[in-house]
Amino acid sequence: MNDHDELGTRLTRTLTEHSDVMSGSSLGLADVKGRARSIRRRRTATAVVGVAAAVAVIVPTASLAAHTSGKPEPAPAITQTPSPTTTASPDSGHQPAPGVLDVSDLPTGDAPRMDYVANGVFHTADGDSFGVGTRYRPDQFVELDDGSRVWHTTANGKAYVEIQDSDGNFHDPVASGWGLTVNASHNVVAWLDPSGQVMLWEGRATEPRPLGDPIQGSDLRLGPVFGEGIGANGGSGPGCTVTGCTVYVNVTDNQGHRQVWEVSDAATQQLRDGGYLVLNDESEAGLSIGLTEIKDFESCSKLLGGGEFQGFETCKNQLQSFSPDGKLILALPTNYDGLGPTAMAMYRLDGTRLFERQATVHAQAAYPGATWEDDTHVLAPFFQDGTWSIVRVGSDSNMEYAVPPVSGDDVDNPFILPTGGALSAGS
Amino acid sequence: MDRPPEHGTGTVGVADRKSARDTRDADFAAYLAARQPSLLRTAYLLTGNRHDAEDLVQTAFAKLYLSWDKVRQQGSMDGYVRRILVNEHNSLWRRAWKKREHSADDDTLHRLDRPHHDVQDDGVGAALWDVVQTLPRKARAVVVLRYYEEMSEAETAAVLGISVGTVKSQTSRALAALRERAPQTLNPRAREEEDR
Repeated sequence: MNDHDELGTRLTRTLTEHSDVMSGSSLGLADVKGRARSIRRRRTATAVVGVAAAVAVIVPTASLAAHTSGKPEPAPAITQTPSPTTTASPDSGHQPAPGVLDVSDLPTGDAPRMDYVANGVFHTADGDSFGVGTRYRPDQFVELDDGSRVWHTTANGKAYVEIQDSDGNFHDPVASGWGLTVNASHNVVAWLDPSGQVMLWEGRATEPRPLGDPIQGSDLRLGPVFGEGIGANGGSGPGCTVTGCTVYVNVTDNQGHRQVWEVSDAATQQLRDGGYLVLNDESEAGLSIGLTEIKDFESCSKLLGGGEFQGFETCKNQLQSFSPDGKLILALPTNYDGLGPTAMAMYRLDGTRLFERQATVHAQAAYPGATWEDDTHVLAPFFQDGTWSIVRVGSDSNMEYAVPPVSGDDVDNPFILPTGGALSAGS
Repeated sequence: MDRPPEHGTGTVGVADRKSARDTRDADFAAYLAARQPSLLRTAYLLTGNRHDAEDLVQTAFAKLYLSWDKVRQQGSMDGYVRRILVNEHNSLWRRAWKKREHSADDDTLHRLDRPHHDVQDDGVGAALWDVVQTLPRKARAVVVLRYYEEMSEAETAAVLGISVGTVKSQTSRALAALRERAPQTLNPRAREEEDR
């Protein structure tokens, strides 16, 4: 017997011996059906989220509200449809029924009007394509106003941030604990390192730097970055140190309560204004949206503003992110976990719901996150029936393919849209 | 042909549907009972601890249940559920969440789960198991499918949804890592040096 065979034989014996500790079987049909109900609910009526400020990272809110028992699947919502804004071609595909989120046979429209990644290839909005060039596998990226990019990548269960200068050169990867978020001007990017320390990359800087003190607690998620960095300051000054950037961090404390922390150079403190449990986004006009109540099977959200602005509250959807002009709000189901949101809605600032679309048992569409393409459209990678596509959804609820479906596994999304959207979104 | 009414007077239709569902559930329960022990063992080798293994198997069977009619029609239940099991374990989001959910107790559980065969092989098996546990998830999956399930390279590739070439290279790298880090009795180069 040669050495290879000996190792193989030893391996087989070792694995067999160790697998024997799993003797017996305790799983019953009821257990399986219960988990199946949970998965189906997740696919058809619940969701997973994006990060603040127009998107992109998956955040199962199972951590916000653990739940496993069955709940009736809701019927598709009634849809209100204002004037059309999408560019569906009339000769192929069709719009699903009002209220239904079915991306199986849509018309094909324009390619994404922003850069994106498909299967490790970077596609620019003007049609160029090239390899992404990151050291590890990318799952998120942000484009900055100085032409640089910040990538979030993973390898062997560890997460990294890779900064790519405007000339295309990469800095050495640094460890990350949670993904990227960017300010509206696209000159400040933040992430959390594994210790809960907020890290900043201010465009044109030479090194990332820590902001404030590390956040204690578990299940840390970045909320929005608010404020201006170096680019907005017009020069090579100290950026956020002068202009007062604030990064919001959503966290679960030791008692299991959700909290929002605001982190700046001046202070690291709990956000008590607004009564938010989770802060999802803040607009340039100073409006904010987030969760105010989290129950086992639902949550309530509110829009808050200053002065005379009344805002509104809803327990029908989770208010997720503002459009680039701050006039519309992308909304998700009130509760979600698992592979991705399976419903989408949009609201006006006065609380009018423009539409809601929900997946059904027969059309199990899900998306891991969505990003605003312009003031009235979002783009989202969708999985349905063994295929992935990028779908454009308008504020009139019309949908079309921006990238037609390609075969794929449900856990292997080939597409990455830029967190925070395109640099010119809404302009 | 007219479609039968979906609402209203269809009491016979409701009974038929219930009967069909009961039959379906009975078939699935039989499959669950038959295949669960084997799948649990594979899941344990993938996850390295009992809790995650049971969780993984429950999810795999739940996904199979949701696709039961289609998958059974194709006669591909075993391959389907095993593929779900492995891919579910490999999936990024699950890995991220499991990483957060793990506590210090896991190490204790892990130790309690260990079989007691170490004396018979001078601890080589235990050491080898420890090294297997350090392999990246996808490499570990290849090792488990090839050396525990004793699948061919083509079968392993089909389950993992990767090419045969990738299976070959993953296997080769995993064995090299094991040979490098396993006890000297399994490392021919070390043995040669020791003999000298």
